[in-house]
Amino acid sequence: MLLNKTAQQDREAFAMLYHSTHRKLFGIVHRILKHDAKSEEILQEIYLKIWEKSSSYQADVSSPITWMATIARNRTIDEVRKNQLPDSDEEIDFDSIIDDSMAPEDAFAKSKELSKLESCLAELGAPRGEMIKAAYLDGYSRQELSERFNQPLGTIKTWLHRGIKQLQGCMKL
Amino acid sequence: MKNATDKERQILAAEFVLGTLDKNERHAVKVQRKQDAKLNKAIIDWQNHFSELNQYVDERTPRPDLLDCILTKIDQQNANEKSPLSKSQTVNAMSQDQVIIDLQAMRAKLKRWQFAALSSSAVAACLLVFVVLPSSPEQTNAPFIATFQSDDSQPAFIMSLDIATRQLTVRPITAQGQVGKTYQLWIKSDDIGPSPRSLGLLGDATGQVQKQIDYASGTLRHATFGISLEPAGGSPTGLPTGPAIHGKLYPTSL
Repeated sequence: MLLNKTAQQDREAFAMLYHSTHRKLFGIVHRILKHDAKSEEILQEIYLKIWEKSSSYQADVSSPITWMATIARNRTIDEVRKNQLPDSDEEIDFDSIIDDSMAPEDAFAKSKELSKLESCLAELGAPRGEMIKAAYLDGYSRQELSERFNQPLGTIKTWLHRGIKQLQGCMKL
Repeated sequence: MKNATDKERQILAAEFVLGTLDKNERHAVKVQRKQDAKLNKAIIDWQNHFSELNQYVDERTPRPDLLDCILTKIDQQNANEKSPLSKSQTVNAMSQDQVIIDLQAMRAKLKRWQFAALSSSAVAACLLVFVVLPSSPEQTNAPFIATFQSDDSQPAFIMSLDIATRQLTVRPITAQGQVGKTYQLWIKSDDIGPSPRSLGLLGDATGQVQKQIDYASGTLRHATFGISLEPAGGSPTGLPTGPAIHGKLYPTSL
């Protein structure tokens, strides 16, 4: 496997790994940063990290592309949050969030993972499902979600937390 | 979050993965997950589930030289890691074989740069590592010879460097001059900044060029060198912009 060989400092394997994944990872980074040069700079850092951390990859925890995409997203989100002001200090009362998670439908059990996630997101109802996807795919902060969905920040936080609880139940987490 | 409930953990983990936490909250979660196995597990679970959404991300192609840039940085990191070792009593552990192996690895990498269209300054920023001079107490005052090859047969240039006197001599071997072009010599060292600096023009490769290098011998020992082909008058940007030729380094004791 390319990641294992990369962990052994195999440059050819690393180059093959790069060629087979860089377009996807660049797509992830660029969708969030929306800037060519900055995205390329961050992508370099991401692959350096992949080179350095490849020995810590665990095949029983995640797929190679998920592991790499996670590194990509984490680095990218860190970058966009770096210069953003923190959200207000308003405390969230977790207990006030209604436990309206749903029991998963049997029909989902044999579905592919994405179909399952999509179904669970659809159960959240508009626009909360879209909000979760926008947060993940576009890297929106709570404040940006507030502006995009034209809702107060507190409402966004509540939607997020309630949506997560529902997803947790729906996806048996 | 010291006594986080499972519900709190799940929300925190999911928000961390979604990316909606602010920078302070993200930092706190990164610290906390190292101490809270349940939180760490929750983060991994959410990562695996939400990662399915990446299927919606369109692939996109970055600039074509990015892998070379990454490999260059890996080389620089490796060189930096080796550098303190070579300063220590284990200097002699860096044998000639190791030097050659390292340089061959660089050579393989650099070969990809040779005839690439180097039209952007971003590419120029990658043309950094050509030759690494090993350091050794025994070799401190010994001259080094580097060969800059444009292919796998004959060298284009040979450079000798006397670190003690900082006298540098570059002699063309098979290098050919090109109309409207000049060769330019570069040095790169962490001691003098992040970008390569020009050591001057080598002309059109018609004769030997000698230069007195105004850098400390300690800097020179750990520096990297390169030769690029530039427009007449030298690089217009102050950084290498033209095709690079790579080199091999031999201690003169060979």
